[in-house]
Amino acid sequence: MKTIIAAFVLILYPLLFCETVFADVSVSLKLDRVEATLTDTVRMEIRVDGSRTSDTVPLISGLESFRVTKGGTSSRVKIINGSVESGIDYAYFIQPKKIGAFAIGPAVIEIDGQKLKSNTVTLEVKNAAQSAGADTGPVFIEASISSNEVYIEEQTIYTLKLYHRINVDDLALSLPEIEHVSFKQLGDPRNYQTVYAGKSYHVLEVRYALLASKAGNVDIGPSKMTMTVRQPGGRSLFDDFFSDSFFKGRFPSISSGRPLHLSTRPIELKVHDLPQKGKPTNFTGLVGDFKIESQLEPDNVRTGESATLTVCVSGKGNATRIPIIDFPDLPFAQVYSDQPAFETEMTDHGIGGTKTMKWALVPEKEGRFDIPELTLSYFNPETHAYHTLRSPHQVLTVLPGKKQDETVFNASLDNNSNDRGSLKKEIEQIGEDILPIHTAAGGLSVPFRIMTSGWRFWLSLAGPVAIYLVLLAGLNLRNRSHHGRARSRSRNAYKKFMKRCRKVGGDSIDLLDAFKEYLNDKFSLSIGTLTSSDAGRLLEKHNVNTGTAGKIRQIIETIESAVYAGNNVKDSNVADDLLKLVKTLEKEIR
Amino acid sequence: MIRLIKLTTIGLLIVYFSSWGLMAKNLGSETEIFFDANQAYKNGRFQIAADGYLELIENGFDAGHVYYNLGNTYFRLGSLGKAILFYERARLLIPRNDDLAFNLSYAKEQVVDAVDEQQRISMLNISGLDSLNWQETFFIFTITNIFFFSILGIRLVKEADWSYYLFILSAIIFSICACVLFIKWYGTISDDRAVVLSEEALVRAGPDIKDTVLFKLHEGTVVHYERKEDNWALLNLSKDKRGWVESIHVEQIAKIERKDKNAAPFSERRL
Repeated sequence: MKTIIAAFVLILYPLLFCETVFADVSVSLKLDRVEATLTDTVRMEIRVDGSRTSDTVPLISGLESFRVTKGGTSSRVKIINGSVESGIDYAYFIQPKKIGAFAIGPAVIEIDGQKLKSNTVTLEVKNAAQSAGADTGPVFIEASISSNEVYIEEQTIYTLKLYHRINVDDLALSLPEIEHVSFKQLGDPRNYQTVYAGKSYHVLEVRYALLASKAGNVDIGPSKMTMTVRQPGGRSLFDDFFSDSFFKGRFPSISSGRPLHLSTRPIELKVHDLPQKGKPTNFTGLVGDFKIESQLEPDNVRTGESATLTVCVSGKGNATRIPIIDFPDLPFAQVYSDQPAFETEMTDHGIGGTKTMKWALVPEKEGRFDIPELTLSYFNPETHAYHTLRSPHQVLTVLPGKKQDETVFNASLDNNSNDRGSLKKEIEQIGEDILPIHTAAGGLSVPFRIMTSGWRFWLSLAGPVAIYLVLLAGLNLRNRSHHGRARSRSRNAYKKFMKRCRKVGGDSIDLLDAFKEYLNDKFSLSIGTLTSSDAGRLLEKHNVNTGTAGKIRQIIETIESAVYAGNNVKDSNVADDLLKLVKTLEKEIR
Repeated sequence: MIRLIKLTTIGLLIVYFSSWGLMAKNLGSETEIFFDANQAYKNGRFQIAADGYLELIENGFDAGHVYYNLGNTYFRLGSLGKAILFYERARLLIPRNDDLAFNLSYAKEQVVDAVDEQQRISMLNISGLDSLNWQETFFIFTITNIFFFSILGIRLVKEADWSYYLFILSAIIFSICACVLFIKWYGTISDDRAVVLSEEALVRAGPDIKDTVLFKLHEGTVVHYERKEDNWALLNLSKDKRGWVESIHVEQIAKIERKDKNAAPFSERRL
């Protein structure tokens, strides 16, 4: 039991340790929907990753227009491939008091004395939806777009909502296939509850970024959804049990329901061409809202050393079309461009991305040099105009090279040894080739090869077991022979005697009988009746010490007297003395 | 009887270990071929160097370093496929050699086809056994094998406490080593990798020249070799990329085909 506990401690301790030491703490805020009505209750979750405890509860900004109810706290620990992920989730339910668009967040939480901030999300609150005439039924689907008029490549959000008051499963969705229009799903589908036309519904919401690449009127055809509808009251206890995700697909015949096909109403979308007026010459089709950032690191170098210029273009829109910016030749430095990196970002409000471009600048002249600004044009659909992004102004200061300034360099190193690392130069790869051949004669031999070839392989594999089996067989054979049996009997005589003595207790006849049997086993005899004088003679014959033999004779006489008098020797020390003497006898005979 | 068993055991051990010494080959002429091939390589006579290393391999001196040198020689000769083939064979014998790892990686960078080698993760990769060669694995097993059965033998004659605990320990180590040996053995016999040797090989839908060309492979690409039919080999790159190629275009890494025995020996071709 102790071993098991120790093993658990050994396994669990490093896991706890890992969490404490390596956890990277972050806080995020999430709503279960992006749009709500005045009658809806929205679930808000503050997710803390990397810590299962916090010093304070989250303080959330932007909740003045909501009624807030606490939904509980839960902590979690996940172990995936040996790495531990832990965290704590705070749930809240918020109900809007008025309509409008509200920014919720950031949530501020204190962990280990450090204040952490979450992201901010926007919730749009509208009036409660009203049924447009006819009863909508227990299941229906609705599609909408965020804007009916867009420019080419401008994204609009296409939202599909499945409302259902009864259980549905086996959902399959097919989107309309339209030429020059593409759909990109934004995140995972969301599940929440809402009130529609005075009735409470479960809603499954899927959002897509819709991009049109050709101008004109586009008819967004119906999206079709097929599902299996569970009839209310028509299910058994087993349906619930077998509709569990564990059984899905394993017992298809057990679950029952009615198939249902639903379609959305078509939507008209007007796609405008991008205006020709004011179109910059370097416009590459980038549509959205973008910004540019740049950084020169370090901005102070010596000739021959390199500085890195990093330019990031990021924003919301068709970010995949962010072009690779051409960097002009510099009269004072060599320029080496790095492979650009692109990262896509998907939010509830659309897709975007960041393109990071890097150039290594290796100056050849001393002085202060302006880094030329890099420009990029894009069309902003919100302002209906073209804009040009310009990278921030950067200046590179170039000091004389290492050789010319060796004295100053050494002096500065003496003054501040911490600068030593920053002044070291990266080792530059000038050429590439394979490494040379191996010329040592030792390369001809293969260690342990001899063991794995021919009969040595089989001997290495089966030899030990064969030797063991031969040994086992030999010992068994020996034990079965006459001499072997006698030797085995003699060897086990003492054990047998001790065992029997423990059983007989103080009974004189049994004790005498046990000793007689011991002598028979020990010396391979078959004595029928044992007297004290017989025992003495026998022991002396087998070279037992005269003193020991005499003591044994006396003990036997004592036991014989008890036998003839009809007493037992339970209360006396006779039995113990006999055991001690037999132990001594064993040593002397050996 | 015991004496007989003891004598037999000691005798077997003496025969076993002394045979190591008796088996040690006379390296005289082979060392000379090796040095001459090295010299030819240094002098830029790569074809002669390649012939020398190949002769060593044909004579049974197929050591990792000979394969490595042969890989270098074919790289210099511009045969990227053969270079990768022999580097891979060297890796089976000297898996922890840094020079080999570098050269193999460098050679693979020159390959035109982008094939994800991680598409099939073998048990050897997971367990880290690819850093031990077969001989080393077998040696470790042999030591534990002898140790385990020695302890069992001791327990036949002496059933003491210490021998019991030693037996438990040796049984655990023996079981682990037996599993490791099995995994290594299985990984070795199921190694179906092959290298494309031709500059360009057409992969067809069937084993016939009339069959549709599915895709092309280029020299040095490592593929999985499923089976051979006549002069055609069925290759497998991924689930949806399989096809037949004429077997002269590829050679398996683990299965070595001996060259023509009638070819003149290297010693007669040396300059």
